[in-house]
Amino acid sequence: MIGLGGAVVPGLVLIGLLVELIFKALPAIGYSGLRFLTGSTWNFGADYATPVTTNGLTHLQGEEFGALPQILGTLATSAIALIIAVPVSVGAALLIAERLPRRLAGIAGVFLELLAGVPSVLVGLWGAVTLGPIVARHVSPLIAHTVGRIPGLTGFFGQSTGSGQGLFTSGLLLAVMVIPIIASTSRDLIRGVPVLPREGAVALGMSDFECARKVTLPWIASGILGAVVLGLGRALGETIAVAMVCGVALGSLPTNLYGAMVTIAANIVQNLETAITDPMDISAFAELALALMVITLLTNVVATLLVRRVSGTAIPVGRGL
Amino acid sequence: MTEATRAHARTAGLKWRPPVLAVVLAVIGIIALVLGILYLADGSSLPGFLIAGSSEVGHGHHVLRGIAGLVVAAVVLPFGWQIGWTRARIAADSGEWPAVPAGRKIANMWYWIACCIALALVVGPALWLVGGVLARAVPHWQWSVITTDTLGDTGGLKQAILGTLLITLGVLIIGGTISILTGLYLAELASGRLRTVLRSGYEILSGIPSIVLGLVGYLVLVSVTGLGWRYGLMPAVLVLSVIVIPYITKATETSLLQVPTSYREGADALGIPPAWTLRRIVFKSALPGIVTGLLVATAISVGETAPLLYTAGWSDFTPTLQLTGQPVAFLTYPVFSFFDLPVEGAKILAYDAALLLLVFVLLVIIVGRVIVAWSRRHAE
Repeated sequence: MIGLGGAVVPGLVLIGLLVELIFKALPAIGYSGLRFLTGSTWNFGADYATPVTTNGLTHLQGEEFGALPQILGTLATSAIALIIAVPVSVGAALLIAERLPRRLAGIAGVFLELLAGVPSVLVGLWGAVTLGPIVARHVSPLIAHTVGRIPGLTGFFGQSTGSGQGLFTSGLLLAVMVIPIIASTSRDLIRGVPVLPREGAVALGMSDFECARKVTLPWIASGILGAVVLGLGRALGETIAVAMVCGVALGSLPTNLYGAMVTIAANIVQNLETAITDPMDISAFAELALALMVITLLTNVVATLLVRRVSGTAIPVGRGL
Repeated sequence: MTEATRAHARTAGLKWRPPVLAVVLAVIGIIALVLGILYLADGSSLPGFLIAGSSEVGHGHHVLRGIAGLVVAAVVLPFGWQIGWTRARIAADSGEWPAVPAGRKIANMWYWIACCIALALVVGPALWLVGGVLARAVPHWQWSVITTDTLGDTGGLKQAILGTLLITLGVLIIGGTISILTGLYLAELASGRLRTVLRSGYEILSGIPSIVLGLVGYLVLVSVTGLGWRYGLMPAVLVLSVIVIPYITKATETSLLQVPTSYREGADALGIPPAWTLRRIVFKSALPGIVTGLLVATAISVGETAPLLYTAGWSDFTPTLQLTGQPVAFLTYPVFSFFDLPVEGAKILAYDAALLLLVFVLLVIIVGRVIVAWSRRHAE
């Protein structure tokens, strides 16, 4: 009985969370409506002017909540992180699981654990103090001078390379934080692939590369997808590290890869203090949190469906080996 | 080309032709290698480049060119070697095409090179991150940091360390109890649909970003429109408990489910009552897994920042056991708030806190490894 009492706590917390957020977000939803999703101006309003009332909702003068840049920023940083992290993680996992001697594989495992266990505020510190300036000084100009010269890509990759606080650095930092999740899961999955199909591949004269591409990776594709989604969840919700390197540019989309921007989570943590004094601002933040929650939950649902579809077709040899 | 293949080629009566492409590639590779090393040596501030990125990075472009040279060498040299080797084999096998075409071999080599680069990209940042924090924190480290309170933005970190310890203890008591009970119930007692529903409860909870939980914690517990507890120990502990519940529950449930059925059957056959079996036999063999889960929870509650900013607050005074109404300091706060202050003392404090956090993470990893090793040895 006590066990059941404990077991319902997560569910109750979840329901309470949703109810509280929806309840608190209602005024902001009523106030900004669809502009929340389409607008790109974010204004906390005039704190010291007399509040006005429109449509029965009391709010500060000039208040405007357009969250499009934040939503896009959240998605864009996570996309950059995954583009970098997935190949790196899977490659490293293949090397660790298939080639490295036991002892070295153990050491590599410690590094993965270390990277996964480092508090995100330390990653943020490293990003703000070390990685950001190096990106601004060396990496961004390099990309702008090479990729940025290809016709058609000039707009996004070229032009001014910024201060190192922005979209690109945030994406890199998130990649560093996501890599241990994807890499350690992939490594365990690769180790779990039965030896028979791989021996079969070798007996057919496949090279390591062909064996990995045609046997090992298809075998674990759905598992890797699950790990990627797990990493995506972390990237979407990561707060403090991104808040330290994104440049916190509210209300405007970055014009290129290096521009300052903000994600939903970073905005909440950086600006909640400003919002505390006004109920409508707080309500807008509740709506932001709701949006972030919907995005992460949607990712999870899509992933579950995808995993179901992939696992139906991608396994080349019967599982009954 | 080994001695054996050369001898073979000689006996086959073939005239050995030098593989021109291989030689050209080898020359390019060696030049790139030498240039890369020279550029790196000329940069002469590699440690400074890696740590600072600030004032002393005059030779950064040289370092970059050096790295580029090494990469080119790493790509070209194996290519040359591979082509040369294949040519030697062709000669040795008296003109016959070797069993594996060169293209496939080269693709395979590229594959392993790519994997090595990937691993370097995993290990590199980890080393760089740890090294960067150490290099900035250790030179300014003073032991007085752990015995004095923060004073504005200088002083020590005593109250922050104590605050973090208090919060973590609270999380282990509240969050730990709830999660272990949940895991126990899910693994041992619940069944069917109830189990699916309860399990999906904590699984969904694990996907919710911590900042959302922090915001709701602020709205419900701290803010005057909610319970109005104001910043304090209790809101922080409750929010962090919710964050760690999925981790401990998962660890408890899986480790209980992994206990061999034969243990239970054996206990049953001996006539031991089920509750006794659960407590003394099943729970005991699942203990290492549960402790590992608690360890992860400790690491999370020490390392979290975002949800604590608006629940624990920050204070310059040694924390008391008062649960609400009195802000509590915590160790990640100075890292986040002090690192970019213009005061030198504040920066040093930020790095001291970072160093303490890093040492703690290493400690958790070591303890975790010890537990795993110990439980493996005692598994049989």
